[in-house]
Amino acid sequence: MSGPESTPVTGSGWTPATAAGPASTSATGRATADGSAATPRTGPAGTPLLAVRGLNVSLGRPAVRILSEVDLTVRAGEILGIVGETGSGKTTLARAVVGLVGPDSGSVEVEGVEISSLRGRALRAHRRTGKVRFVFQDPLRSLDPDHSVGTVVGEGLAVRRVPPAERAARVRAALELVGLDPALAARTPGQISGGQRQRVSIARAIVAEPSLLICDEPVSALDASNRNHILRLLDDLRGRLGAGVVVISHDLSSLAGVADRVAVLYRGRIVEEGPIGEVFDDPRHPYTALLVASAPRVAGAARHSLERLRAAPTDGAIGAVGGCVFAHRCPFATETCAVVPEPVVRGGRAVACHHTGTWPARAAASTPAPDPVPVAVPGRGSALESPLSESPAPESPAPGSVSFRGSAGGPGPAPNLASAPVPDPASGSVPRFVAR
Amino acid sequence: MPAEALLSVRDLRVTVSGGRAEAVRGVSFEVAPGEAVGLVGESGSGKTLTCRAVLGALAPGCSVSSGEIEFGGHDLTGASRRQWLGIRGSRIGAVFQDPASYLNPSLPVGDQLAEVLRVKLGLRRRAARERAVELLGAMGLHDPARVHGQYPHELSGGMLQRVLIAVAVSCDPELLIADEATTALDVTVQAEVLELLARLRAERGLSIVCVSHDLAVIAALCDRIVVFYGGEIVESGPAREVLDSPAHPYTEALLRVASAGDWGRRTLEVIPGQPPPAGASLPGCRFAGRCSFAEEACSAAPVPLTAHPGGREVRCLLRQEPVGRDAVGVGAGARGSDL
Repeated sequence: MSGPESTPVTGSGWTPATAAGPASTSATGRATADGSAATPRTGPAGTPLLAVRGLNVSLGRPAVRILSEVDLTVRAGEILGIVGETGSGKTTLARAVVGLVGPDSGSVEVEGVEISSLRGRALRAHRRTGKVRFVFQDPLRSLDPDHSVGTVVGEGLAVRRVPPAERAARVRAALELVGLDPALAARTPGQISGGQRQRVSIARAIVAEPSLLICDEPVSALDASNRNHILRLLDDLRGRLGAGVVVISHDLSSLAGVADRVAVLYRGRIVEEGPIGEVFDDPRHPYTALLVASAPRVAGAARHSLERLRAAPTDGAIGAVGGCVFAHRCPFATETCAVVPEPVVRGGRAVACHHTGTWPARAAASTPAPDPVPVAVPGRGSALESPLSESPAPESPAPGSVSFRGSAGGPGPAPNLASAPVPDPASGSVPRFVAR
Repeated sequence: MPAEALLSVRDLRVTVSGGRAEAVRGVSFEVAPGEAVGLVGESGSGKTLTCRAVLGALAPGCSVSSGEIEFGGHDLTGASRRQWLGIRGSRIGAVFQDPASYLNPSLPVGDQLAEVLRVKLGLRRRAARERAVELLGAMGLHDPARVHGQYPHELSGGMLQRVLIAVAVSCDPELLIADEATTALDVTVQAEVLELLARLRAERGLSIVCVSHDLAVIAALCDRIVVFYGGEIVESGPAREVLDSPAHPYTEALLRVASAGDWGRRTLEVIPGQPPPAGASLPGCRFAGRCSFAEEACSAAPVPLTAHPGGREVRCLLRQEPVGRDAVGVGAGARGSDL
């Protein structure tokens, strides 16, 4: 979370045996309260299981920077959640951690061993230890449709020349551990349900008893019940295997149910990081607040009004080169935001925002806006037969400062943002049109 | 419920795999003008087939075996191909889950929208283009004139979904069917698209049938909820009341696994077991096998959908007494148990 020159912070010493309760997740943060001279808390192994420092990754040609100065620490028995929207670099981060993507600079250490510089034989040897395992997003595409479940799960063992009898026993044990009937081993992935397939993916990942499990959107293709099933399974496994787990997910509420800490990624930078309950309950970065307020919920209202957290829409097409990555969507952005904010660590939480002390007050200022989730709409039939041509979306004053966007063109592609007015979907919530 | 419903589906039955299995088993519901109705249920519960039947767009091998679909006073079950052309796209619009697969990747999105306007409304080329840009702007797209000339691959999922909503509402339909329309989108974009749908509804008196497996999405948009399970409706009623006091154990279970908006560490709830396969013939309640309240009588004979005061309907033997805000839900005492 911090720059390359400073020590990685965050985190909690985690003991698998006492793996419950938010209290244990936040207890240790204070040691690094001022962000200086902090030594990383050590897990049971003495060193963090996974330590990512100052990771920069570029992909494509011409190279596009995907990840910038990412710092992460995962300890044994800990679940770290990573949230962020499409294109924020979540998957690239996961792939970099397992060595599928090479970094431009920075380090990825697994149990103290630097893996980003491994090549050839050394890399293969590292992979065959089975210490780090990856669960892919789409089980249908990551499981060979022609192989039986048993073959798929046991493949990693076969590569390591584990004798067939032992292999079969371990495959059976892994399937049982994820709650599948071992008889499924004879079927192909096409013959089992989506939830079962995802469990097969997890069984394949845990069959060699990894110490670190990286799950890229393991639940996004599943309905709520199966989603909870899989997350519960991961929660259970970290206790049983003492493994560190990284879970990428877009379902904030379910993630909050099992994860200890969360890192919020936006356009390749971690903008906020800390104990998951605290981060979602009291977000200190405007983007985290926007995510939390956007999450649909059956009951209850968000802490911050959604409308106050949105700036004029740009649909992510504008590059904020050289400044805070979120500035182009941030209603609280000012000229200061043309400089990348350094992450500031306080109370076990890291936030990269220049205005972290002031924006919550501005978001809460003046009258509270209508409930972001209008449930029953009384406007039925109020505007019958009003063709769109006669009722263009109203131009709304974009909340926050527009001047910054006009002046922040800098070296980047000069957006015509300042040439607003643009219709703002944020202003288009029902109450605006019905009640007034 | 108002007397003249815009859409009324009565005892709809849809068979799949060439008539061998009945996947929608006698579904009846109504949608009033301007109303938003949410169909919720697990995959395979028949909600999408119901929508496809209403659109007259069932996949090969699926057919309406009996029942009535009445839209704006016309019976659609016997409609000819020509009649469907005058209704689908013009009076009933639809948006689906994966926006990219509904657009031609080799044509600019604006041309595809303008094509609909030219074919359906008979606009001239220039007028259609102007109207298309206007519509794209009304969908909250930034710089609509530029978006008009862009290809699908140049747009994000949220932008594509807005383009498809523009296509769906281009002919000023009375009913919009949104089948998992926000499922594939990021939460921030999902919130914006839901707001767009709500705004279109308020501005134009559009009726919406919203299909989702996510109760939270339905809660955000709909007045009324219809809960599907195994091809049947198990509960329906005003959204807030159903969410506040679910009467069917399945609805109750769905609520417990839904995104609660709770950021605390907790035991994530699951619904054990699997739904019955499509077309399975069970003598009694189709949820009985997964229901922790099930009694012998539940599996013995078909359970009727019982009407309750306040526009609520429940298909449960254990809920024969009135349900409502003040009544205690079936599962209320068992909250936290492994239903």
